[in-house]
Amino acid sequence: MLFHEQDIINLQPESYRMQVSYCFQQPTLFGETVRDNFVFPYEVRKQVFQESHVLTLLEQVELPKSYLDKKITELSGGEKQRVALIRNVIFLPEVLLLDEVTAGLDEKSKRIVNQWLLRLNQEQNITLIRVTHDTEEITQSTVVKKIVAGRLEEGQ
Amino acid sequence: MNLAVNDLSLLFAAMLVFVALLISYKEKLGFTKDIIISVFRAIIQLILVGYLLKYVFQVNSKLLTIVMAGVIIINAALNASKRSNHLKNGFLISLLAIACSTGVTIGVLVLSGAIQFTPSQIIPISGMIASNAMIAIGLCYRNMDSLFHDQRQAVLEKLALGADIKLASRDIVRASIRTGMAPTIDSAKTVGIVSLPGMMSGLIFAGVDPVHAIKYQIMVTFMLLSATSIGSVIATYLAYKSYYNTQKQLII
Repeated sequence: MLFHEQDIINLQPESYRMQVSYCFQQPTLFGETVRDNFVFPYEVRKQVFQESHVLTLLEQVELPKSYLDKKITELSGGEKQRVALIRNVIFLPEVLLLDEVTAGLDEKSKRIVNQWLLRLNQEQNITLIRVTHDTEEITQSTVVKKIVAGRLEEGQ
Repeated sequence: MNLAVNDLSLLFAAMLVFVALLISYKEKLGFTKDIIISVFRAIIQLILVGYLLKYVFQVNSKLLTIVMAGVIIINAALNASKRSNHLKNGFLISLLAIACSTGVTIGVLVLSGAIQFTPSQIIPISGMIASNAMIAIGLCYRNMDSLFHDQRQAVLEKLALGADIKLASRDIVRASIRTGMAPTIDSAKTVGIVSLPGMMSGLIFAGVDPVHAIKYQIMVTFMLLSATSIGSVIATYLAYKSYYNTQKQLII
């Protein structure tokens, strides 16, 4: 598999993962509060936490600013997924790998997440590669590849 | 000195083993065979070590003392490495951790003049240090194994966010070190209140003034804190890497 014409095996895993960010279907949040999760990407890059930046992102996914210090155990599934997605884009990656990130979300959360992801794609130029069963998400995509019985179907 | 244990009194004391055997039999614990084997092993091992130590103390050679300490450390490392299913170099990691913790602690004790470099002091102290380091390291390994399984998803997410393996494992490593050191810290807190530990009891048995005996126990408390912390830190920081492959992917 190539990334910028280089085999990903030869790339340094940490820097590759920062550029191609993977989002899980059922994310796990760490620490005790939402803040702990947002601080982590800064720790990874050895940078100082920018509270104003993450507050803007919380606003974009329609979560109140007070959620920054909310306990992760008090979040609903949809809220957890939005916090996890923010964690992935605090530092913008080139590619977001979305593994059925809206599966299991309520309609409201799904709409918020999808609109925000599309915005990231259009305004920040982030490539979205998503695995989905959702017909609406499929129609939003520019290139659709079908996987049948574990194999990528050709000629699409 | 009033040490009254002789062969006959030991034979009577062996009746205590029957208490354990009776409980095992009545409660159907399936331990009967294990108890018998463990008792015979303990007797044979202690007889052998008794004669061996008598010989080593008589010879009074520095080299032989180091060899004996080495044998203790190797055995402790072999035992500690069995506590993890995941370690690639479990024995070598444990050996390094136990050797460093024993070496540093004994070095400080000898240099400070707390003990002398004689077989009768170095060998028993090595045994105490290596055994405590072995238990601490074993606890670290076991805890690390279960934490990597329980927190697998969290570790994967941290890696996906670009964390290096050290940062992704940081919480697990810290918790494992804490687990390794906790029994020593707990027993240090209760020493003298709950337990009158081996070194102090032994000296009191041998007729030493308790006020003098406690000084040795204080030394033991210091040395065990040092040994378990050095052992736990070295073993854990070397061992967590075994949970990743060269592509820095979690392999459990």
